Amino acid sequence: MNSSFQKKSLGSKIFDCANVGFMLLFSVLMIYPFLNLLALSLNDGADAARGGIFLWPRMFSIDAYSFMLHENKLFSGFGISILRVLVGTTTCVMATGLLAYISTVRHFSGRKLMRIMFLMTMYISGGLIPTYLLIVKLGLINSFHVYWIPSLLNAYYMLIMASYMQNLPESLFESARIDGANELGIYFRIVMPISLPVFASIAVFSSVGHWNSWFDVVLYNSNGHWDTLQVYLRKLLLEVESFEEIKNQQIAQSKFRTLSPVTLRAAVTMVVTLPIVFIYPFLQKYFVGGITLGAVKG
Amino acid sequence: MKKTLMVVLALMLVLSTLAACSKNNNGGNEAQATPTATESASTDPVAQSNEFGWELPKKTIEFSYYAGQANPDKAEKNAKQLQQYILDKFNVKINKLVYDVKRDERQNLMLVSNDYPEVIAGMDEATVSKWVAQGKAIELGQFIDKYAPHIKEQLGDLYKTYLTDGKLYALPSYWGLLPIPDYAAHMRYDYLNELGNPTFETADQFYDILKQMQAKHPKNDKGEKTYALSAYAPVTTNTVPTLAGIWGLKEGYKVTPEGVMTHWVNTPEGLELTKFMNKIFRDGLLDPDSFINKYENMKAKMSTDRVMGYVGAWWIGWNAGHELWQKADTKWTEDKRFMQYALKAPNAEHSYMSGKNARSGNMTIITDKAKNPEDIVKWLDFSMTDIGTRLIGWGVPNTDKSTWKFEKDQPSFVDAAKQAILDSTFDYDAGELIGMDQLNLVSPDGTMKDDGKSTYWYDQNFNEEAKWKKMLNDNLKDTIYDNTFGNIPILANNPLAVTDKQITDLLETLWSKAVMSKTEEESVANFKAMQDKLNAAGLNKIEQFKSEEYQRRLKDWK
Amino acid sequence: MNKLNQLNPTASSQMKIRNAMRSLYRERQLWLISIPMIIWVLIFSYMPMYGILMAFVNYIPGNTILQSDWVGLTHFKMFFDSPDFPLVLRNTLAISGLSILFGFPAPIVLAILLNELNNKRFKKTIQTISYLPHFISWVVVASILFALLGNEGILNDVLIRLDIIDQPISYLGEGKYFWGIITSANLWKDVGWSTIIYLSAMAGVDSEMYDAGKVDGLNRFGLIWHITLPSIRSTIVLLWILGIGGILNAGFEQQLLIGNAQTREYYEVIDTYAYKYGIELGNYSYGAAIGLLKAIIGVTLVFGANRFSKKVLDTSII
Repeated sequence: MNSSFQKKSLGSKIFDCANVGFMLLFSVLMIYPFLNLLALSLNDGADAARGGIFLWPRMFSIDAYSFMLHENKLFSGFGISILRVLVGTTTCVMATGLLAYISTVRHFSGRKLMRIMFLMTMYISGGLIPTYLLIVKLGLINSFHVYWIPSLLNAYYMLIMASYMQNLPESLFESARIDGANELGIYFRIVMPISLPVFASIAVFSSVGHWNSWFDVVLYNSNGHWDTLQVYLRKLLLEVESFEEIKNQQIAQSKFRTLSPVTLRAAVTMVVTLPIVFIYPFLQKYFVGGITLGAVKG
Repeated sequence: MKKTLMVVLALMLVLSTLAACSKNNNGGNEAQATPTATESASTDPVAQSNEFGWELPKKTIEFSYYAGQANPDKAEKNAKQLQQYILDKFNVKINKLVYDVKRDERQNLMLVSNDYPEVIAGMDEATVSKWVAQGKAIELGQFIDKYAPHIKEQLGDLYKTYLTDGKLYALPSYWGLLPIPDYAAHMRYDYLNELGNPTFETADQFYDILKQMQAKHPKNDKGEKTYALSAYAPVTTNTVPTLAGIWGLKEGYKVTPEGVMTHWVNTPEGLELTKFMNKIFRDGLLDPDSFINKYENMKAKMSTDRVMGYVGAWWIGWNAGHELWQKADTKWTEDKRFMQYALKAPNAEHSYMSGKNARSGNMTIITDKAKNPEDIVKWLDFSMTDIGTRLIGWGVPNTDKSTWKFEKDQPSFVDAAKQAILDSTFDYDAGELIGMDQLNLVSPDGTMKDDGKSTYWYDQNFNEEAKWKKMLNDNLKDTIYDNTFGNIPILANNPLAVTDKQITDLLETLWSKAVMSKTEEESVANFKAMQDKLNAAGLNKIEQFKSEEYQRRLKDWK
Repeated sequence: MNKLNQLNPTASSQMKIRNAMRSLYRERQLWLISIPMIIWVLIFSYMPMYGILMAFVNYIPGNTILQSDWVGLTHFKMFFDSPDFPLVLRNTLAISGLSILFGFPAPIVLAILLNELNNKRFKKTIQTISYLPHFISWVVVASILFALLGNEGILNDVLIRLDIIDQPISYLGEGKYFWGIITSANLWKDVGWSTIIYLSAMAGVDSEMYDAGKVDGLNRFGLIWHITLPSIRSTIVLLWILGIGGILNAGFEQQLLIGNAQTREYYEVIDTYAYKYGIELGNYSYGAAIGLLKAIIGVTLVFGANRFSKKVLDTSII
């Protein structure tokens, strides 16, 4: 938000330097664990159990990665994850955006009703069992649709989007209505383009949510046909079910023998995180760096 | 914008259609799979016995069973060969189901959605009674005499312990007595040799030697401080029951012959072992992270020569010790390992370090979804026999990858596999692929009745010939005892479950304070305070419940 | 108006209906859009809410709620009477309070500082890095904290070398440090992530406004105060209200993974308690009762905070 036509004051320059310095320090703090995991993931598994690996692998090995790659379920899982993110995010962002829009139309008498109805869902839920039974009754079990239909509308996203849309000038919509535009048209042609930053940030939230979620997959799609990348990798990491419960030490021993090493855990984190980090800049450009909206707002 | 929108909408439509289509495809595949199963059934009509003495059924016996939380892909891969073998040789088709969800959670969802397989394995007894109360578990007693001649014979005296009001609803897996030790006091064998192999018997002498070791190796080669003793959280579960065994308690309880059970916190022995730990702490020789360590943290310390000893399960010393050094350390010699020892407090009558529960807590039920439960019972009967146990425990016989042979009605070990166990080079992953320990429904893991020595766990069959295992067993053989009666878990359906949980939580917190006290007086005061708090929280009620149950068992089960 | 109503009730109710019909007709497009959404929320959120009733019975999975024994408020009483109740409440409020105190302003400050960076590429890079911790699981965070703060952790090592302390301090083993550690860990993990919302709100500001501000003689701080901050005002209020409503959500996984027996008196919060004593013991009803209590308090607080901000700040979310 700075143009250089004005000469900067000294104070402003000091502020800039301090700010850059702070950011550099801050990013070291933020990125260190990531580098640590990278080093771990590239280390030999047995050796890593001895600890003491920080920024550089001690015994270099790509076993953890090749272990993940040796089954083609990794690739099918990756495909399903992408499909889920694409379908889940587009539907969620568009539908929730529309909900947010109608909940900001000032002359709409159902505005408050809609807001309260959705706000309540953020605090009150029926719990796991009723929800599970509902999904079963709706026939969404063992299908791809369970990935996007139950997450179509989101109250939290609605409130964030609405708080952005509230700041838009009402006159824009009024003139469009006078010109005979219908509400859907206004939403698609006016609201969406000028609300790109908030749509992009909600898209980030939603896609990361879809990308990371695993519980609904193991719960509703337990037949394995729709396993996402997260679930495939989680299965590799599956820890022994509550160690303390295993009283039979013979069983405990055989479970511990197959326990995945820390290196695999680290490699899984890398594989899961990197794709989403790479697509992030494409959405980020809409809310970082600023775009001139003057032209649209007119 | 409109264009983009159209594209996105079109994309969505295509994708969801695709999704719907592929779902149908999968459905189609499943539908195709079923007829093949029935086909194989019809091709095998002759009624005769196979070499295992199993009477071949005219129609394939098929059932699915839920086995708990695990990686479904891996479970499928590992069970495959044995499943095929059983289908070919026995005309029995067993489908194993595991899910990547907590066992309790999955079982509850099965109950609420009324969608569960014919057999469920690995239940605790509280869950069994929940299923029985809802009429979803079939009474098995009615089939036992007619279809299962071996079950009563194999279970022997244990059989009646599974009856509720004379009815049998569940059968155990991994039951029986395996007279090999689970827990011990451990110390570094190579360091002990350095000290000239001194003998020791009591906990204090044990600690004395650890102290000498630590004095000799105050730092590891990276210059990090070493400790005489380490542990990992929760210490009161992982270490204390074994430690209390040294003072003559049984799994943390003092038991009188009349069956009165007292928790270690309420015994003088409990104070003794607390003082023992506190002394190590005050000497600065107890790993200060003992109550914080997760298993992997302790493992990191043990494997970098920072720990001289620990008290707990024997395999920890293997997993965090020489099994790791073997792989990661080129200079490793076989003496560098943790060795297991028995200890006994001077005033203790006997040392009870490894309590054995012959009943096991893993129960298998047949649900009301089973159309022909008697067929399933027949299979359970077979898998409880000695030869059935071998098949389930050791996997497919007579192939080039097998660990055992079954020829002329005689089982025998494959020499190469046996040697691999003795040399610690056995490939357990390959073992799992031929089905070792993959389909256990009701098989015992104690000693087998026919030869009096074979056991379900393949790698425990050659202990007399394996140098280190033999030392382990010889050192500890007097500390193993049958604790079937004293093993009284407080299960979820017990009204005391909440109290028990509260006490478990409090115990660890309060005991850590008592151990990590700066003076002995402070430690004793903290111990007394812990006693008061735990009794106020209902420890006495727990003791009372356990005593009553123990006395009932003495009366009913003897 | 009242008088009129009394005089001619039928006419007035007719008028009301006519008014309603008229506005319904005028808003027919909006209602047509709303109806499918209402149906969706009724099905997916409101229909399962009968599960709340579990709190008043002894629910056993497999039976329906109606088949279960009605126990009234027993479970609520049990929670209030539990010896852990005061401790759990204290920890929940302390940890949430700290996280509102620090976790709420931090992303705002970070967003403003990011917004003030001149180099676009640098800004984007830093922002991307700042959101990376969000992807690191609590299991990994816990093991990093152990390496950093354990008795032999890096921090103790440094402090001993600098002669600031002579005995290692057990940061993870002493309760008094726990709240600080958990607050820092939460902050570290989510500050960059939460910044995204504010950045998107700031991106909505027309850059011409900044130019105009400069022409008016506003300095750097003035621009932030008069242009940037007002642009995210409604977002700040929204998140503040939601934060107040979520005050009983003090975390779950992080407590179980970073906490240990020695710090239990400081880490046990409502959610960990409900999990351990409800779900883990198969006592769904107990868990449901605690959940319902949380929901009631949450909704009350949200509406309260909303009314407060409407009065004081003239901004509301409903």
